[in-house]
Amino acid sequence: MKFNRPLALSVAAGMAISAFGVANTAFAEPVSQSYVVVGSDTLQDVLNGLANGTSVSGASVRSTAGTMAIGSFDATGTTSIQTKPSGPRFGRPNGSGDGVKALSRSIDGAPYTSATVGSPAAVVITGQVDIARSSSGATQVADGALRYIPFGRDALSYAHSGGSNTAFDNIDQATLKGLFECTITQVGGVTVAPVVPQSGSGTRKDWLSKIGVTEASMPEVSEGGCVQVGQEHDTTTLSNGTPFPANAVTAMSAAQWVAQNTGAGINRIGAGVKIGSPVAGVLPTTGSGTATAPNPAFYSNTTWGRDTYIVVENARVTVGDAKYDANLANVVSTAATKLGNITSSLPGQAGSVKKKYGFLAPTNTTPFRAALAS
Amino acid sequence: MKTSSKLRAALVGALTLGLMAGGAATAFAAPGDVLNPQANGSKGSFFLWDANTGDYVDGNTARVYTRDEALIASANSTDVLSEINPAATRPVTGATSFTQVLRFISAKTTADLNGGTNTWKSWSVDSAAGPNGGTLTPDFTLDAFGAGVNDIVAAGGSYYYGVAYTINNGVTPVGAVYREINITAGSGNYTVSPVEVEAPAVVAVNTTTALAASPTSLDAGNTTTLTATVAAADASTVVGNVEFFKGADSLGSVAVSGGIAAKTVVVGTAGAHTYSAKFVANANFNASTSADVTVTAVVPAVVMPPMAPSDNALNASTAHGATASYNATTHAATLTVDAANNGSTFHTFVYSTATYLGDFAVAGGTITADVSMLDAGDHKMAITNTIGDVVAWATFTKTDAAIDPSFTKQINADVANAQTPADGEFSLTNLSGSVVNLTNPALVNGQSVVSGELGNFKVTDLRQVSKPGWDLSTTVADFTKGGDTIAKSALGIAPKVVSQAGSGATAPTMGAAQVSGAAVYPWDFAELAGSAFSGVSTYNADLVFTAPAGKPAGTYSSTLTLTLISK
Repeated sequence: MKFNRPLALSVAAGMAISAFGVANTAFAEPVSQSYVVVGSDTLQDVLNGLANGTSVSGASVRSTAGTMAIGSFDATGTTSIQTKPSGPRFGRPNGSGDGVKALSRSIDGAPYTSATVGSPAAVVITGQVDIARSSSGATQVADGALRYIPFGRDALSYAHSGGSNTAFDNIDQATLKGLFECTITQVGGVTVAPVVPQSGSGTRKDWLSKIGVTEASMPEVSEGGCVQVGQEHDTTTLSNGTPFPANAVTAMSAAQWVAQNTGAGINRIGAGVKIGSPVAGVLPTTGSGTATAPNPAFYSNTTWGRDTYIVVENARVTVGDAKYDANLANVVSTAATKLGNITSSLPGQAGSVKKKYGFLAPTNTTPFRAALAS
Repeated sequence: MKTSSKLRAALVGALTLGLMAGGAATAFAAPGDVLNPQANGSKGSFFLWDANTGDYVDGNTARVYTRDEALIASANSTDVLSEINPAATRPVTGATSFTQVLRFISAKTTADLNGGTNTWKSWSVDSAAGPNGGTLTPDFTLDAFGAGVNDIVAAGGSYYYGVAYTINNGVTPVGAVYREINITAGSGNYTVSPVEVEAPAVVAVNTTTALAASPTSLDAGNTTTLTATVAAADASTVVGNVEFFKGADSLGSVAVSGGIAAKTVVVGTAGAHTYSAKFVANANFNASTSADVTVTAVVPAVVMPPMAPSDNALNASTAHGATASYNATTHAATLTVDAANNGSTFHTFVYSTATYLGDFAVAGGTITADVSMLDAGDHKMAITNTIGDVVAWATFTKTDAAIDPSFTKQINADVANAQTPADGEFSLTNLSGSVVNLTNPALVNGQSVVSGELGNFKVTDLRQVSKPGWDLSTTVADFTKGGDTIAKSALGIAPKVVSQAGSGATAPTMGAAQVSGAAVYPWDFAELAGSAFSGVSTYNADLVFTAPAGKPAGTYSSTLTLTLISK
């Protein structure tokens, strides 16, 4: 859930905003009946739909683990969460990187500190997280402890608040790189406000990689540069609570754009914000409003299309391993209603639900292993 | 014509289906339609499909499913996307609105079904979000029916499972479709009972019957074969019987096999006879009658023998070197002639009195004919052509006497089992208790009188062959109470007949009643004279006991014995 913070705090000192003064109501999400999903903002809405049950495809679909319901926790909301009965409260994992890190700490038992500002530091969360949502892949490691399971194909593009300025509708890769390195400041005769998703976001990592920018070469405002920090896929406010600026350009998942328009996902579209495309003549989506749909021609682009994943501990889904958990394996399998399903021939299949949320079938359907995140 | 009443309605004009108020049982159901309601009360039903492939899996009712096997359901057996309870007809809920849709498993009682989440064993939330407002491809994996499934699998058993439409947050179902599910305890493997569908109406097929007779003209007394050919209008295999008629008289029925029924009949009298065949209507085929066929019988003409050559035409010039011989075993005479005559047929005669034997062909230079009817002695055998010329003749000697024409028939006669009557039971049976209490005495003329009944008993005498007769003798002991005695004469007995039965039985003669105070024992209660048997006789008796004056009050006891003695 997204909160608007009521107090505008000074950011000149570049200090992390402390927990005091944040109107954090005593609002708790219920613990999971079985397994816990955390991580990426991009995949949050579709995982909520599958975990909680949704009829967006016309049929009721719910991915259960055997007979048990699972629990999916948003990337943003309360600062800390408790995910399992009698479990510890720990910082809410915000974004893909944070989610995979939380899963890794849940596996190795080392203390975990979330990227969410104000969250408790160094909490031991062994066994508290089972599945991570990740909008980006990882380096393959043959005997890695993690298993990346292809979830669906998204495409990365950008959203802009440039209004009727048509130059904003098609900004090519080179220009985007210049904008985020602050070497190019104008598009279509106006000064652009580049906005990057928050640290720990997989979309941020993917975006920078796709436009050829590194963390080092991207000067944020806090570092004296021009790039502001926003919340992944949210074009209403920035991460500090201020309104999304005009003439801004920010990374935008095409799937999120579809879901926010069709109503499958929570609408976080700012007034007048539109989706643009770095590929001339090929828009990321087709249609508008509730008829918005992914455009396979853009999604199949090898630069801008991206496979997204759900991540689990490899041993727990490997038959024969001492840690093998049949119910966890069941919920991430490719069977009709399960999280790993990518078919969309029938409305009751998870793949059909994913399509309503803007995800097409992944290009690479083979799971791979990776090392724990540090 | 046999037609399902429901189909008949659909055949009359253009009736619009689906006009009834929603939710009612389906009127005008066509064969193959799901019955609504089902025998178990379900408002229609659902069919199972593979959730991954979309394949129909419900065709085999013996199929065993596993608890995690991914299945979905639809409202019919041909379209996986057919929604359950779609608007506007709402076959499951009718005009009643609902707020929740739940997949459920419940025990198979009305109370458990109707109690919603209060009584169901397990349930899971579903929706009515299909394009037609109904429930689209609901998840029918057993494990998808909620957390209660684990307990149900542990217990095993037979339940109802399906989709319910409810109000009051799930506690009040307003319509449900369900089928019986049979779950094996432990494994969770299960089978699902079949859906009831409208049986196809049986529409009787029209038939045609054709009759042929062979031959159609014959000598009276010979037989003709009637062959009926029955064909069905839809070319299907006809099953049923054909009844044959001569005029209006039935000759009997024959079953149709391979489209044919045949019967051979004797045409006894000369004249034209009309035959017909009728295929008898049954559930699947309509009746049909053949056209009449006429068979004409004629009195067989007596073929007079041809003119025989006179005796003196048989001379040396007409013998043509023929010889004749007689075979006593076959009673046949053989005339041996010139082999040039082979293949030609001649009238054949034997003499003394010219006797025409028939027309025979010469084969291997001989003609052989039966002559068993001739007396012993010399006979001439001659053959002539059709003009009357003698072709050849010779003399043979018959050694045995004439043999009269005869034929034999075997007669088989059945004889019934020889039986004879036998003697049966002879017994005396007490049908009441072993103690008779005569209570509540009254004083009559200064004397204590008490009465009661002896109780039913039965005499059985089924000695229907020997019939010796019997006596039923009664003895009574004196009545005693401590040291006091009352003589047995105080007990009066009046026999009465309760029932008397037995075919051929004779009712016994009852003994004259014994008067209380003057009774004499032993005494015959009843008697049957010899040469009779009494069958089964049930008796009782009225007892009266009068105590002499001066005896102390109390209960006096005696023993009464009845003995059945054969004469």
